[in-house]
Amino acid sequence: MSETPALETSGQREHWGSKFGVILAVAGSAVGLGNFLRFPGQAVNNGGGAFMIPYVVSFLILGIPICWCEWTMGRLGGRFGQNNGPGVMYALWRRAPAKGIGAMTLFIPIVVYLYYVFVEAWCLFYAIEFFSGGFSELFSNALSEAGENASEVDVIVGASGAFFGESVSIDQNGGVFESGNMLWMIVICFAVNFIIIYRGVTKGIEVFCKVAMPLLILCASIILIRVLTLDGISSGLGFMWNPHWESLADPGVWLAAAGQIFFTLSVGFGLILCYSSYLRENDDVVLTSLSACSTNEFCEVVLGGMIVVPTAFLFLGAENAQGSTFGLGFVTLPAIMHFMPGGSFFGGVWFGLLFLAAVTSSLSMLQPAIAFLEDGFGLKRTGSVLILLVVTAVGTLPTLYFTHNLIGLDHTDFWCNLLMILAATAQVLLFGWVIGAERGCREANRGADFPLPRFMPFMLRYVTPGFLILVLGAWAYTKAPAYLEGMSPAFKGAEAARSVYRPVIRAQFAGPDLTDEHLDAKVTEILGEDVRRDGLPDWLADYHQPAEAARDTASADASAARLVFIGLVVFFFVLLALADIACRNRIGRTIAAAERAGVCLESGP
Amino acid sequence: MTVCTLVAQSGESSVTLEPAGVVVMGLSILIVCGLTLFCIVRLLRDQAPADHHHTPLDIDTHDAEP
Repeated sequence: MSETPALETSGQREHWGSKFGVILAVAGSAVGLGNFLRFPGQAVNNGGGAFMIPYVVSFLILGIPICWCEWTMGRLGGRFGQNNGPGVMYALWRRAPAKGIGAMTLFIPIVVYLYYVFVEAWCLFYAIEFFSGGFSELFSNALSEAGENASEVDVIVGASGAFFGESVSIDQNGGVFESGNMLWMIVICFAVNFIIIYRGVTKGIEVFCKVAMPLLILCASIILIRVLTLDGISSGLGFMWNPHWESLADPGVWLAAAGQIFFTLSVGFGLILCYSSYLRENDDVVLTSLSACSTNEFCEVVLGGMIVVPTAFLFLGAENAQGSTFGLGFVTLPAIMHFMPGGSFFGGVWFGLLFLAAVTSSLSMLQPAIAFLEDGFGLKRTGSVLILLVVTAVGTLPTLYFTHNLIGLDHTDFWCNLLMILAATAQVLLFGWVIGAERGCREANRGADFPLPRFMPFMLRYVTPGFLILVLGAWAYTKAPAYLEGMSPAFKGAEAARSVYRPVIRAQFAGPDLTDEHLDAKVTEILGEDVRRDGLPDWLADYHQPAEAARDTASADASAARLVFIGLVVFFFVLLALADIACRNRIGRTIAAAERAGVCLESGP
Repeated sequence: MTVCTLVAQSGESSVTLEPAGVVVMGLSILIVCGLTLFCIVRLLRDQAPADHHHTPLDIDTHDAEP
């Protein structure tokens, strides 16, 4: 027997090992919290099965093209020695706006991390509570305290909701610092995230996550099989997937779909820009990014879409199956586990794996800032990690303190989402009109496993940017006013007070002729615009105290939202200034050195 | 009788998976699985995919350097 077959066999083993390693890495990078927590809620609240039409359209017109853009631009910027957003953008376009775009790609991942670490802590806390029997005890106590006529579902969901609210201190600001438990979870999350980055054990976490994340997918797949064999599951599937076609006429549904695509694929974040900058010139970006996107969609549509909401509907009813992202993930899911055999174990495993997914996402959000500090200011990894630790620890405080109605998290998330769409729009315009769509697509095809479709230059130059501008405008037009009003203490205070008096006025003037329009007119006539208690009729006197309490609470929330917004604006301009300084100095010199060494980017379309 | 059957029968038994829902669900799963399978097959056909296919999970960001 010759030696060659053995060598060939050995080579084949290596090839198969590397192939499955790549597939595991793709799967590991794809799965995240949004797949299981965000998508089901978005879909069921936006037309059910009909949501898939704007979702697929957004995936094809926005998601995939923007991914290809980011991967390509990142790899291109890496040739100039840049692994950070501002540096990559400036290498591709030597104009001031490039620094602004780069600053956005720096701002977004850092700020998202500031509240993402809070959610990461929830996952860890829930995993511990499940494994330690905390949830079993909680539900047992709730059932024993409830009356005999109480519905078990209502009791369990109520207990789960109360536990969530208490854990995150949803009823009062600053509660996280008083309770202790959640604060320790956050400290642990910070420690885990930063120790991993500080020790540079990326390879360790990579090996671990190559097993853990596909394990999450495997667990979800097993749960999916179990769910699909449940008696009566077709009603749950119907609740999730039956299309409500009329919702397609609502622009909000299209916005929700586009937003979900952004969040789930992490496009416009600046993460991909950073990571792809480490690729070699001939590393593939087309198949790699498409694989990551498709695996993500598998986790989202097939697993997330088929498990959470149908099961919630089946076990808990419609009312509990169409909540918010956090409601589904941290109230409904634990309640479902109560009714599932072995729920404590599976719940612990589920949230434990979600915690790991959150860790890998958190690490990827921290990397762009570290790369910027290293590239832009010559800091070593130790120094950059320490600076980032201080910045994020301080930056997390508003989210952790302003927890009443999760106002800090909600407003930070909204402004980040808006900026994310703006950053993606800017990047696509830069790709299509500055680098040039044809040139950019040729660059993307370098080393590609298969070339981009021939229509991609046209799409990246006109269709994707056009759709993005539409989404951006619609998003700002429909959502921004509410959030801007949400920062006005006077407005929100009056609104809260009005909500207390309104049912009383309705009862006072109840009659067959009292339509909603008449009631609104009557409310305005009696209360006025700012709803001050002076001059109000005597029959409203009993409601002054609760109205003022509601006013004070809402005003405090609005003040908190305003503070968060101001902080975000200040932080952005600080990053912009730092990006400008870095581009004028170290980044500029590195780019110039690369150009002298022969690296170039032809300009023009 | 399982809890889920009780719940399903109690109030929302009127919700059934309609033919349109089956079509939407089936098409969505088909498209997603098809695309994923396409990508996996292409990756497996590559002789040495680890040489030039890298995702964030296995991209070396040189963090080990002090």
